[in-house]
Amino acid sequence: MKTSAALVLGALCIGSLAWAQPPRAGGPEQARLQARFEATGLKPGSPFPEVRIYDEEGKPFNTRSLKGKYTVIVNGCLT
Amino acid sequence: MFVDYAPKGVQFYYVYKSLAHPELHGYVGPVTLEERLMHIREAKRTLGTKIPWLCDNMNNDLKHAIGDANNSEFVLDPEGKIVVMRLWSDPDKLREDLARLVGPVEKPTTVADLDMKVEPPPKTAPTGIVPRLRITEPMRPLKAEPLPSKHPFYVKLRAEADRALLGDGKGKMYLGFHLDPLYGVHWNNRVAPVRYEFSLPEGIRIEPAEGEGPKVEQEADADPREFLLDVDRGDSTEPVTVAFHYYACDEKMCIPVSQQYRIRWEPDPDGGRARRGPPRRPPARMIERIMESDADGDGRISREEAPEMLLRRFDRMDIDGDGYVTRAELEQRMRRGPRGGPPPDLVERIMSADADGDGRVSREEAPERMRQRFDRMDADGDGYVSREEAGQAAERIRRRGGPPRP
Repeated sequence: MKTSAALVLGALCIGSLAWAQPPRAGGPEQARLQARFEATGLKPGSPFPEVRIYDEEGKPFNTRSLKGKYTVIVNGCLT
Repeated sequence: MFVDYAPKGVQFYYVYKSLAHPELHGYVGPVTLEERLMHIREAKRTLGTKIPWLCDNMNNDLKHAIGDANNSEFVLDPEGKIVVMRLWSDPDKLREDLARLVGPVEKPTTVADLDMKVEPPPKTAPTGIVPRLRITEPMRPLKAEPLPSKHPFYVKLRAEADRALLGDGKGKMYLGFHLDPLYGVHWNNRVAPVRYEFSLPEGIRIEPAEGEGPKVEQEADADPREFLLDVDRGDSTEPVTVAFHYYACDEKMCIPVSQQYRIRWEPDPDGGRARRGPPRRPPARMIERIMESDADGDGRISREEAPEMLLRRFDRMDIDGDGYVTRAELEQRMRRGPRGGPPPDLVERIMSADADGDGRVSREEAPERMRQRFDRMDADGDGYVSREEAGQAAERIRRRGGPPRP
């Protein structure tokens, strides 16, 4: 079993196993999401977008500070 | 991965973004930063993870900047440049990325190694009391802005519009008042029901422009109060304001609250998608994928065969507790009614004990397991479990995440 803690969010953040699957490869939903993803203009080698967000305590956090180490960012939510 | 690679100097963050699936497990979209932080605390509690979180701002700037994907992932190098970007998080590939960038790990940690304390969603009052609206037309969330209030929004408004309303200006609007489970309140049905009223600019008609929730016999419940309205806004793009009045009640307080939302006739791209309509069929493709783990071909998956994503929920999916997950159990567990609610077949299983066909289950008819919890299921204490009470029990079981053992 190769998977590890990062799967927790990928699968569980979305609340139930039934929701945990990515859009069907080659399907219209996947194409729509992929197009929007690519429309950002981001690609390997690009700087990560600079956005003012917050840490989990509510203190301001600038994504510009994500430097100095390799960083893994996984997006999710509660459901 | 966090356990393996954080000591090697890799930093990990989850980023909280707006809800992709509002109403799932009763959670509703936060309307303030503080409520988003509450959601993060709730996610940490229910997921049992120690990975730090970042929180997108209320304009969803980060979500928009990285392409609005719900479960994307990025790996950045020490200069802050993107090394890997993926539309959908893939832990196996991420591990390969980190092995390539930072170095392999001799004995990768699995989720099972972590003994993570996964907690259920907060308990609320019973649901399944007030029937949900069945809407089969596709609806889109509207931009709805809460107006300043001295109280928290114990109840959140969700407004949606059908295609005709967004296009021609004449169509249907869904109005749903949803309790926020993080505040632990319920509808107290001994006091006045929720009431709404629109303030309409000239040229916009909404029918009915005022309304109130149903009278409910049960003392308390947590079902949303929903309305389907006819709207004719002509050519107007003027926003409308809806005021709503309710009592926010828990075990210690019951206070009257009046709040307002301003609704714009624009789809909210960050509004997420609430499931509505007839019950969904179990996702066959995913079930097939899981069943591929049946290495010995006996038609069931043992704990040893289970992939990680199943292993973390093995006890919940193993409905009969025999130590194996079958295709039938997967199908039953993964089936859901519209907008949550108890799996209908679970209610049917409870009601199947009704031997004399009087529409209720007596203590004598109840099988042993159900008899052990009969008094709790028999909410009104009349000595029978009605279909309504079976629905409440099924919902409690679903929320608890435990096996349905009627």
